[in-house]
Amino acid sequence: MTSRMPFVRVPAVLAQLEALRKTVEPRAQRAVAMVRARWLFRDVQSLGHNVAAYGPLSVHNAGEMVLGDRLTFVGGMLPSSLVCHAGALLTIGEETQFNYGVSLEAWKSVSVGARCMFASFVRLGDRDGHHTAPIVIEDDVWVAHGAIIMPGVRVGTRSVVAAGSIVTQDVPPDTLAMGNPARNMSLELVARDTGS
Amino acid sequence: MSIRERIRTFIVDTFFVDEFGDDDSFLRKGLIDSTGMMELVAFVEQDFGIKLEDKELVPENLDSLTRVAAFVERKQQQRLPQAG
Amino acid sequence: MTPLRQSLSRELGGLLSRLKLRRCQEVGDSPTVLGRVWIHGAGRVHVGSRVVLDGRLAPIELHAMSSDSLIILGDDVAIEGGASLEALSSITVGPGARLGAFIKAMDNQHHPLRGNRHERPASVPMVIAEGVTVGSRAILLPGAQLQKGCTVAPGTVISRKIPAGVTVGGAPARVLRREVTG
Repeated sequence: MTSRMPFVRVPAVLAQLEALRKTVEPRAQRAVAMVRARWLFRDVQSLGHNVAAYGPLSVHNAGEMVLGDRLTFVGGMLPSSLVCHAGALLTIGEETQFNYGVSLEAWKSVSVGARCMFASFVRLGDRDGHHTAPIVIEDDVWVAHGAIIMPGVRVGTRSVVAAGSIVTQDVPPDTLAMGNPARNMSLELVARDTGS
Repeated sequence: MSIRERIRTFIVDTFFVDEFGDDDSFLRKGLIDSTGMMELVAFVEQDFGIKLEDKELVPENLDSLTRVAAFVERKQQQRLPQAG
Repeated sequence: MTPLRQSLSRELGGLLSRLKLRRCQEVGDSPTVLGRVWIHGAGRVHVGSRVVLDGRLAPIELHAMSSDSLIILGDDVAIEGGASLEALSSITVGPGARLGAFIKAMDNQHHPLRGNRHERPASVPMVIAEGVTVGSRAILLPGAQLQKGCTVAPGTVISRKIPAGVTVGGAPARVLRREVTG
């Protein structure tokens, strides 16, 4: 007696499952990231909507933290850390993105604008061995890999801090800060406008 | 060697670009990127003993061989009266 | 240790290293992987023989981002902890090259300096040639091309061709010494 197997096109089913996984997985990851952010930022006084943390973060808040909407913290090799000491104010504008290993430390005041991008291993602290002075990062700033921003620095809107730079003086808007100590050059000198 | 030749030699030795005109834009021709521009600025400062202000790092001063040479000449002339 | 235990632990270490490199498409003879390596992305990672990845200090990241990205580590390459190689097109590390702790190598800037930050600039395939030494915390940006036997001092940012046998360092980078030939 021969029994016939039910006719199932296995490859087609597998492809369908794969397609399903591709659509479901990112949403599931995002949902998990948003729940994780809720938990990690439970001590934050003001937390925006849709904040997502795709990996572990170390958050220490003894002062006041004000976080905007739609922030993204990317997970990776090392966790990012946000530290706000007693009496300090740490504010982050909406849609700002953080890669892994970023360190933000506020002893007095650190203010980050909207739509900024922080690459991996960026360090930002408003106190060094000698003095404490507030740091202001305006909107649309891109701080590239491994850059260090020193106390009292103000980085202007749309400016870029190049990889590995150590910024010790203010950076005007639309400027590229590069080197150690960082020097400011016009972005028009080194980059073509790619449209808005 | 003239100022222009010294700068040209540095650019050729450092960035390995040989065929470029005196008036070619470094940016539009893709000859020098941002890190390279910083190296050029450091070379100009060290080799010609001048100090560039951050606000002088603009395309009008640095975006072609002719512009850099003219800018260096201007800076050297500014410096001379103070030195003497 | 007795010779038996020695050889046993060597065998186990080799197996463990291969387990940690299971995401690689090709792995050569006797790899050594200490600590953590984080190999991810849709692309391919090829590892040569006698490679040493020392991720005890911090994890090593090998990220072949898209499906046609490629990372090749040649024979006898040594990479220290915290190093991160991110390829959108390709990163090739030549035989005997040594990459220091917390170095970053990327062949794409991912964002343009001006204008629309969501547009992605073109990749520049990166080649790190045979016998190159890259100091810790150095950053290799798109356009970096390190030729045979050159040395990059710790913390240096590079985005251009460095000729064979040259040592570069500082910020902005400059030639610190040249190898005298002959």
